[in-house]
Amino acid sequence: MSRADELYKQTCIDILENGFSDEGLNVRPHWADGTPAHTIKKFGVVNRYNLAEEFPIMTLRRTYWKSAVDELLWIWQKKSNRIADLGSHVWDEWAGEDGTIGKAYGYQLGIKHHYKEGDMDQVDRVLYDLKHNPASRRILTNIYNFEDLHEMNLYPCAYSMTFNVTGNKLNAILNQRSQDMLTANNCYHYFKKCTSIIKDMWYSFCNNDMMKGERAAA
Amino acid sequence: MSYADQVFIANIKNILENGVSSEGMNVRPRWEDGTPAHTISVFGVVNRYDLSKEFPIITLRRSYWKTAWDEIAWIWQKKSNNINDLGSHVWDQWADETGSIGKAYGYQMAKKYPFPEGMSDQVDHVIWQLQNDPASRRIMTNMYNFEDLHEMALAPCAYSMTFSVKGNKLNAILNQRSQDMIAANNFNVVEYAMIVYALASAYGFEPGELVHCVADMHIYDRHIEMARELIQNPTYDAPKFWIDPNVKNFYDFTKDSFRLDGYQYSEFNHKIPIAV
Repeated sequence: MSRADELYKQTCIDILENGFSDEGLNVRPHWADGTPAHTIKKFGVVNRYNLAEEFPIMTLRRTYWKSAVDELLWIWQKKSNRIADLGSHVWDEWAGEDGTIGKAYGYQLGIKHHYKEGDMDQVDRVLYDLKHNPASRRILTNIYNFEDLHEMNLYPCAYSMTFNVTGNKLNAILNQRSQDMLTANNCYHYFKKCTSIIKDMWYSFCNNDMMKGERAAA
Repeated sequence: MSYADQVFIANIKNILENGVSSEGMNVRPRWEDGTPAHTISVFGVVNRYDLSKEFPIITLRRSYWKTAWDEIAWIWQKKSNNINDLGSHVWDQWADETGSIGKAYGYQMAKKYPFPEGMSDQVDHVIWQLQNDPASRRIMTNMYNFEDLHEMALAPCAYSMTFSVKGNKLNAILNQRSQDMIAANNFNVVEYAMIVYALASAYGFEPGELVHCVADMHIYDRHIEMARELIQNPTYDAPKFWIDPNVKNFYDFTKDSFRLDGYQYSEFNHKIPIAV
């Protein structure tokens, strides 16, 4: 059994045994037939994966890691919000007539901001700091941008990554406001991905060997 | 010993025993005399406080909870970025000649955005959701606004709160990128716990859990001996917390809306130098 399997089973059992039902409350998501999509959920779950030990993939079912990489590259390399730039179809239902998902995900990572070193987007800023300021406590991305929320077709679920260098190790925290365990949990552990239905608050802590000057994330 | 004492001591011991030193790396903060301010730090610490059990305050030394509320009121009620609106002087070193700390903290909380219910700032939107949409998974604030970072005197440390209603309990996660243990750890915990208590009491929830998630938890080099000494201090049980049950609007809370009865603490009179 992989470590990711253990954590996944443990989390699912915990939700099934101790989860809180939101039946009776108004919920935003609906099933295709119009029924409200209720959940049982847990608050504030923290899972830690030691990436130095093994790749955090589960074997209980197939995790489509190449699709996960494809989505990761769509957001973090292409910084695109156009579904035509993405191999898979997981985002199709969120795309508008213009073929984009609005000002979400890749759009946010593509925005350049002012710094004393010059204008940079969030990904390039992370790369710059890993190279030049590895001791920094400000190496983070955050796409929960209130200014643009009303123009996003879905609010970001996995919305922030904080990187932290200890010695020669690159660690990271992924902050997620909501996690649908069945649809997307194992994809999320590092490869960010978001769809919406049955969700939970989710945090993931990762620990990765640092490759100097390169992004070790994928 | 209060629960917060236990957590604080465990954190300090963990950093002293397992922390990684930043010696030999370039660091931004400096001591007043210009020396680089190095730290020993641990990554990714999560502390959980059950606010239904006791108020999360340490007794190893005095935690200035009224000052903590004053700062919270400055950011979350007045939504101000000017130190002249703040009672304490903790922000003085970051302010410009007009008293402004730039587009940080309260400035971000005051900005209005278009939401389905109309134009609203982040605090009002949280309150609206708690009242009208408690099952929402989007009840959160976030002040780490990249657009404005270059105009902030300091990048926000405690930058995001996520609220979550389960049954009649109001839970919250505080995300913090950086935590100076000796200067501010329990102060920050007390601040954000008070927000949860206040919102819960005003809008009809029981206080639940506060999950404090810290990316870089550290002790500065010039605080290390102080830290060793501090955790040896005598401790006491947590005081009894009282909140005025008649306040039904978050903006009506004042420092007199709270009481900590029987707050006993150890004397600890070291001057704590702050790295800038």
